[in-house]
Amino acid sequence: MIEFTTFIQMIIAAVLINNVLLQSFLGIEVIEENVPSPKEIFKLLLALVISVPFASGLGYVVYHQVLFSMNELGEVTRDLTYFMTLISVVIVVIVMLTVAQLIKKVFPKVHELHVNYTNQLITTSLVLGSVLIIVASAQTLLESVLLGVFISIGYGLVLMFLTLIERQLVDAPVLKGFRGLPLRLIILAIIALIVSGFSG
Amino acid sequence: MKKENPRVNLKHLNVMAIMLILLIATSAFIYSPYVLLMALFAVITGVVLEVVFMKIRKRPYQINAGSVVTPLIFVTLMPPSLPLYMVVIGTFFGVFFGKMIFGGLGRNIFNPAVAAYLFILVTFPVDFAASFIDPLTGSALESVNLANSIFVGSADQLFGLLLGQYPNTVGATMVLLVWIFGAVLLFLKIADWRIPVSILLASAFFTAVFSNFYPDAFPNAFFALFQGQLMFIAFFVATDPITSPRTAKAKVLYGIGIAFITVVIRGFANAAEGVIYAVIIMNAIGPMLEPIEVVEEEQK
Amino acid sequence: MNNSFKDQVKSSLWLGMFKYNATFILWVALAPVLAITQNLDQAIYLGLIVTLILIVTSLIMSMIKTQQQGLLYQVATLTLIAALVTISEMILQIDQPAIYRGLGIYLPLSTISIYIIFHRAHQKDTTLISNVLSKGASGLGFLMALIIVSIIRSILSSGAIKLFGIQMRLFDVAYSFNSMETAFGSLLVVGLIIGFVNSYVNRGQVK
Repeated sequence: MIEFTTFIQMIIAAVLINNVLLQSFLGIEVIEENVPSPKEIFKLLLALVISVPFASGLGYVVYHQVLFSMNELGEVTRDLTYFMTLISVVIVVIVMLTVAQLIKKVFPKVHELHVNYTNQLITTSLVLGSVLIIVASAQTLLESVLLGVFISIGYGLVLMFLTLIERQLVDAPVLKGFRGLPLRLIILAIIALIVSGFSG
Repeated sequence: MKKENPRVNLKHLNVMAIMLILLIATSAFIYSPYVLLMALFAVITGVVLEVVFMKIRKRPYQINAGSVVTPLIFVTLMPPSLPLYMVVIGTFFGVFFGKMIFGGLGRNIFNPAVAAYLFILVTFPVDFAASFIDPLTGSALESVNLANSIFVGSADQLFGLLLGQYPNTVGATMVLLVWIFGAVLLFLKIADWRIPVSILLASAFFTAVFSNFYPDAFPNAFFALFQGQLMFIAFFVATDPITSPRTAKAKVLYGIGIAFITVVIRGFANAAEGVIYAVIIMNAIGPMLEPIEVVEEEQK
Repeated sequence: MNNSFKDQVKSSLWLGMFKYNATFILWVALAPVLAITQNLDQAIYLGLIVTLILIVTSLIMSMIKTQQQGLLYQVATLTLIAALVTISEMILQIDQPAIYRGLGIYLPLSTISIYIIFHRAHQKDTTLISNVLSKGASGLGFLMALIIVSIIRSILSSGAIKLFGIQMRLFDVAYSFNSMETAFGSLLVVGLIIGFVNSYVNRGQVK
């Protein structure tokens, strides 16, 4: 099993040092429109915390199966791991459709969030990116699933920060050109500034 | 029509500016007149930037203490021999990205001087670390850990800290002065006493608690209060009415939050200044500490 | 006929690269722009690959006569893009391993970006030529955005523009902002550029 300190290190790494949104810029399209309210963030987080670990676990398993089958078939000259991209996309799409159906059955209200086409794409790119990152770096299956959970939490936390800040800017006389997305990018830049100090 | 922002009090800002100028002037005695040059450049940059910005937006604007306070606080947070162009760039970043972009005076979320500090720290780490000066000898230092735990607890060291014998940033070196000017602010009710008091008490508390479990990483609780920029920030930065909460209870929580984050960062991450990070994090979280009606009410 | 084709090309290029620029106007596919622009070579390669895949995909999909919005169409497009991305991964890894490593996860991730750009590319009618031109132009707009952001970041972070081994130095490294290479710098620069563009351009009906 994983030691407690390594566990903590993993959380800190996933949430602070390698935050998907701040460092890898995944799922950043959510900024296009107004950042969702805290309740909606929770729902999004719920969907993510289910899909990402699931897809990552699947991806991890498939990736290592692919590697294994390549080792066993000595005649294969080409590296089968190339197909990981294609497979990842397929996995992600399937997982997301499944999770969407699941959520529709269990939490009917949450499903409304997913019906929006743009949201679907946001979460797809986020999940795909997370799967790719995790498959590249996870050592064990457990690690890949746990990383999936922490990455989602990290993403949700940054979104929470953004909402809090957005709320205070409702009436502010922001420059016309910067209203909306550009300002959020700059706010994210400042948050990234804060976080970058920690990795020292 | 833009309504007068209730958090901005020009009279208070004027006094604040005067206090800061005095603090920097005395710092010039401790270190060198170069500090005054830094302040001059920072203020000029800040004012010019604001004027240009307002001209572009075609809004009427007057230069008031608000444009002066931010650059001054920024200078007090910087080491005493920072290259001038970095002072200028830092002020530019702070005023533009920390204040103007959010809508100008009174509308910023993050304390602009703090944001500028972080920017300089991240962009010019080597120069920043190398710009500290030993106040006693006047010689430049290689690097300084502002929150190191070498302070064992002797009375000598305590007086040393109070009188500015240990290297620190421009405003924070002579703790005694920080007290004096800070007391003026408190007395004039410009800074709410709840914030510095809660920060200091909570810091001592958390340091004591943590040093129980990790005695190596955490210094003597009493001394920790005097180290680094904690005192200065507690009185001058955290009390900034624009970035701190309005209700009394929230202010206390705000102070406790800053203290907690500071102690944790100082102890576990060994970062040069946990207080800075603590302030900017609480800037963002702060509004969550008070009921939404208060925040909304002043937006109208 | 020749003239009208030229006109069509010109107007498609204008629409795809400027009026509906994927990065600066439509604000899509920002993750790659933020992530890989610290290196000009990488950025150019990715931009070219994206453009190429967009053109090929639109060619192939136009020849298949299904309704444009059906689920089958979407799935087929996505699968086709993924396959093309995989092929480019293979080629790039052999041909330019350093660039491949530098791009990291962003080459596979561009599958979704390409899909989004494909979907949002503005076209006037449904002829094959118009289709291909509009997607290609959007890709070129994306490439242009990548180049601009890369150059600015490169200048700010090291005082020089580094292209395929040739370095054009503008000012001394000592005066540069190293932080522009990091995530913070990226967000700041891109936010600033988009903000400026947005101040002077009317985005109109972008939805």
